[in-house]
Amino acid sequence: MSPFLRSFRLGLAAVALAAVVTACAAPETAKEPFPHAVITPEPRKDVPAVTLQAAGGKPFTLEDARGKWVWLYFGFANCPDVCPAAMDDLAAEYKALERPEEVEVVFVSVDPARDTPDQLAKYVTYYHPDFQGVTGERAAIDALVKPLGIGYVIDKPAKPGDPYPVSHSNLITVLDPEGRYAATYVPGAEPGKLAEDFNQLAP
Amino acid sequence: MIRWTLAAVCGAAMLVAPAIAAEAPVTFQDGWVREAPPTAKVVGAYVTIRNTSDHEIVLQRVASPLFKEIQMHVTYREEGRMGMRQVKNFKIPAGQTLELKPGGAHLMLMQPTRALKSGDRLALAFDFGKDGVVTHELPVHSARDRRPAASPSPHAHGEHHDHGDHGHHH
Repeated sequence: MSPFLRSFRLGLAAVALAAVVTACAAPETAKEPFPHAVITPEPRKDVPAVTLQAAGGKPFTLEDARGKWVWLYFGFANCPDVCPAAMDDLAAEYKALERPEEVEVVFVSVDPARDTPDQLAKYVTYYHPDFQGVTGERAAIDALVKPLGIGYVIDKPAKPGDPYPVSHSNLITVLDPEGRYAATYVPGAEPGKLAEDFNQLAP
Repeated sequence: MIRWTLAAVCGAAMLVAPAIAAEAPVTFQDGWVREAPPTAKVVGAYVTIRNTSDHEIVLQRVASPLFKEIQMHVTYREEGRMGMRQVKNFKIPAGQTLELKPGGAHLMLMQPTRALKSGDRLALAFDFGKDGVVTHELPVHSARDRRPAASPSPHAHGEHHDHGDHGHHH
């Protein structure tokens, strides 16, 4: 074979090899881990170690969930429309997880004046028996929501004696197994996608 | 003679009037009550109401013996938060449709005398003031059952997971 032809064939082989290597390395699961999240802070944010209360007066801290992912939802139990819809969505996503033992779902009430931890436990377990409901001192709740970009307002009632309205961000906050804020999802925006993103995480 | 005629006309009108006022000029579609946790003190209800008359009607009040009070609310989004605002009434222009649906306008049923369960039917009295009061039954649904589409289409009876206007944050 002529030297030209040999180097031509080598060149062709090199190109072919490069193409194959590129194709194999083409990102399938190499995308960011939460493609359907609306926010993924880079780098992941630390979350203050606050103590809240769960049913039976037991203290609850996010450190208890270390080693697991946590899905947090901030709301209140006297919410007839937004919170129930979000909890329905969370239950559906949680049930679609292939490895639900890796995720803790925690409902945090921003309305401790009306929602006791015992009532919250009854509220959340209606949506799924594994769910936890917690609340705590105003200062603890405020310290927790701040780095997560969650807002809430306890409003004045229209008339004295009326139930007071509460507004709050309608968002699912994901903490990673190291307890850092990793992602935010919108409940019900794309049903099934939160579970799908989690099912695609390496076990 | 005139007085007699007037009396006869008034008498006739009084016989006819209650019959006219008994049925408000509305049709209902896609009504449902959201099954809530058994300890819940508030329950959400939704329905689409069409004003079939040629004038504006006003939904002033909704009542049920099973709830201490029923308020009308609108869910809103402001600065990234969602909340509810109580409204005094819902006005429905002639020929138009009022949609009460998740993430939007809805009824807040307060202080239930008993917990409603999926499969129950709740009768609500819709008071349109001078246009009359109509009672309509709404089925109670949980997320676990099929429930009517949250969208306004009267022909959509498939299973929908659309939660309306929730959180368009991006």
